Formats: sequence, C-alpha cells, structure tokens
Amino acid sequence: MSEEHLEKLRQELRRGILVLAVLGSLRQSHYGYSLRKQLQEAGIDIDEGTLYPLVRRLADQGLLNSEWQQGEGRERRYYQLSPEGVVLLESLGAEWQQLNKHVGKILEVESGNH
Amino acid sequence: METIDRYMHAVAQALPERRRDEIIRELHANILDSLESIREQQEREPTSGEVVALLVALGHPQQVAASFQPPQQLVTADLFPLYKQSLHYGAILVFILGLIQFAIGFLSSGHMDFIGLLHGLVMKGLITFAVITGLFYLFSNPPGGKPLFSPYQCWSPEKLPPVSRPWQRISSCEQGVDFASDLFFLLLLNYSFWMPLEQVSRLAVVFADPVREWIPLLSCVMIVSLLFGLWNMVYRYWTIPKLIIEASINLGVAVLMLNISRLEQILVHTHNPSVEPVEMLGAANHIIGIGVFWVGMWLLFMAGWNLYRVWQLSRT
Repeated sequence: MSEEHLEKLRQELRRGILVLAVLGSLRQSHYGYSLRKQLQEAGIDIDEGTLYPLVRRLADQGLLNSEWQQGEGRERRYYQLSPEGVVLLESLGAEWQQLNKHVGKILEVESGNH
Repeated sequence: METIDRYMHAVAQALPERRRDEIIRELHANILDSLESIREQQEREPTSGEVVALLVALGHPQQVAASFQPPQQLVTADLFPLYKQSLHYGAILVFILGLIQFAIGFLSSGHMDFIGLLHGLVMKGLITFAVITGLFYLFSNPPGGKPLFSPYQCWSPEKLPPVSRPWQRISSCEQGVDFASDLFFLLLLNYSFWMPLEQVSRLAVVFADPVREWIPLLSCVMIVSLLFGLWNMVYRYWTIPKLIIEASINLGVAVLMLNISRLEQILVHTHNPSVEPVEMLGAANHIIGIGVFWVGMWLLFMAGWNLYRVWQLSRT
C-alpha cells in the first residue's frame, strides 16, 4: 500500500473522531488557538487549517455557542458547547465507547491469531 | 504585518460577502495568537520568514476560504450513478435527433452534410451536458438544503428486471441505433408525406409501382418496431414475450424485404424533362436489390436467433 493511500485512510479514520475530540474539549470555553493547544496536549495534533473551519461548522450547526471577549489587549472568539452540543456529545461519546470496545476486541483477536 | 494583511485580503476575496467580516475577524485573531505563541517561545518578535511559514501552513487563501463554507459539489457521490445514466440517455437522444436531422436534410436536398451532422452533434451534446449537469447541481445543492427528490427510495427487490443471463440486458446504444435506422427508413419510404412538393417535383428517381404497393405494410411494421424500440429503451431487458415480438417484427420485415428484392425494378425514372436522368439505373437497381436481399436474409437469421433465445429462456 502506498504512503498516499495510507495517509488518506488515516485521515478518513481521524475525521469523525476529531469532531468528538473538539466537542469534548469545548465543554470548557476556548478560543481557537487555546483549543488547538489543549488538543495537542491531549495527544491530538490537528493543523489550524482543519481545526478553525471545523469549529465554525460546528457553531453553524448550533452545537457551539460563541462570543467575542477582550483579553490580553486583543479580542478573541470563545466557543463552548451549546445545550444541543452537550446532548450530541453524550450520544456520540457513548457510541464511540461502544465502537472502541468492539473494534478493540476484533483487533485483539486478529493480533492473537498472528 | 503587511504579509498578513495581503493574506487576509486574499482570503476575504474568496468569501461570500455576508460572512466575510466575521470569518476574517476570527481568522485574524487566530493568526495573531499563533504569532504570540512564537513570540513567547522564542522571546523575540517573529521573523518575516516565520510569518510566511505560518501562513503557508494555514493554506492557500482560496482553500482556507472554501474550508469555512459548507462543502459544495457539482454532483454528489450519491446522485452520481443517476447522473451518469442521464448523460448516457442524453447522448443517445442527441445521436438520434442528429441522425433524424441529417436524414431529413439528405432526403430533401440530396446532399450529405457530414460537417453539419458533426457540428449539430457537438452543439446538441454540449447543451445536453450543460442542462443535465445544471439540473444535477440543483439536486445536489438544493435551495434550503432539503433534498428535492430521493431517486433511490422507490424500489423493491421484486421489481428488479427478471434477468438471469448477461445477453438479456439491452444495450441502450444498440437500441438507439436501431431506433434511428427504423425512423430513417420510415421517413425514406414515406418521403411524399413530408418532403416539399417543389422538392418532390425535382426528383430524378422514385420507387417503382410494385414497391409502392408494399410501402403501407412495410411502414406499419416499421411503426410497430419504433414503438417496440421505445418500450425497450424504458425496460431494457429481454423477456420471452419481447423476444417473440422482436422475432415477429424481424420476420415480417425480412419477408417484405425478400419480396422487394425479387422485383426487377425498385427505382424508376420520373422522366422529368427538367431533371437530368440518373445514369446506369439498371445497375443501381441490381445493387439495391442485392442489398435488400441480404438485409432480408440477415433479419431472417435474427428472427431465428430470437427464437433460439426464447428456447434458452424457456429452459430456465
């Protein structure tokens, strides 16, 4: 399998999980850069060109509330989960736990066979 | 900072006006945060090289602007199979219309305008492509986001074509050519109905009287064949009843063709003094007779082949 193909599959796998990670991080209020740093500290490296549009899309879907705040002499847009976002995060989180458990079992069996 | 301003302008240009200010304001704030982080880490002002690297990492202005907007597709992956099928049918329709136009032009003027045919096919093809693509763009990006229709909703496994052999599928291209040629011969046989009187009076040759006697019957079979062709374009698979109809049509046309091929004269002079007579009409009649005979034989063979397939299907 080529590097390019592998990278494409990796991105596909990460796409849905990133939404979950962003929603999870935004249980607390964050602005763009601080959100990115928090994700990086949690081990999820996401480039700015992907993160900022993703956050805007989630806000457009009504999953995040946002407001402009002044801080350190500059304005920043802070995001936080909206009530709809909280409900969705709970539901997606449960789904993720289930999937992770089942896929984990499959992978364990596979690695046990080899 | 001048580099950042240029970048922001370039992004703004690619954004829709109603969201431009809001997105630019936020993107600008995010870039300043990133620069501040460099400042904190390096304990100095970011260099112009670092600013450029930061903007390059963010992406091309058009790419960045596009990522902030809802994804748009000319045709969604879901609708693409239907789009391809529509283009296929569109191409067949263009081909048939082009051939009909060419045939009418040829029969009314006697000139074979191949360049006109090619030009017509290209122009009609482009218009068809644009119309179909435009429609599918609308279906893929419906106003208000609510799908205009769901093409894959109304189906059930019981309603799928009862096809068990690969040859049962009727090629739409083959069916289109059959339809166009049937229409061409129908128009040719009945030229007196649609050709301008002035044009008819200038003809050098016409069908001989014995041939004319067969024309009404042959036209009836051709019309049945055209209607049957339309049916086959909608339901593109062979069944036993359809094969029997096809065999009957082929047999009917074959018998008529073989009868016509036996005639001494198929075309005769009009003896119109204002038109130059056709030379070697006898030889032309001989060649046409041979051609009609072999077409009749081919259709006879096809009728037999259709019946063989009826037998094949009846065994399953």
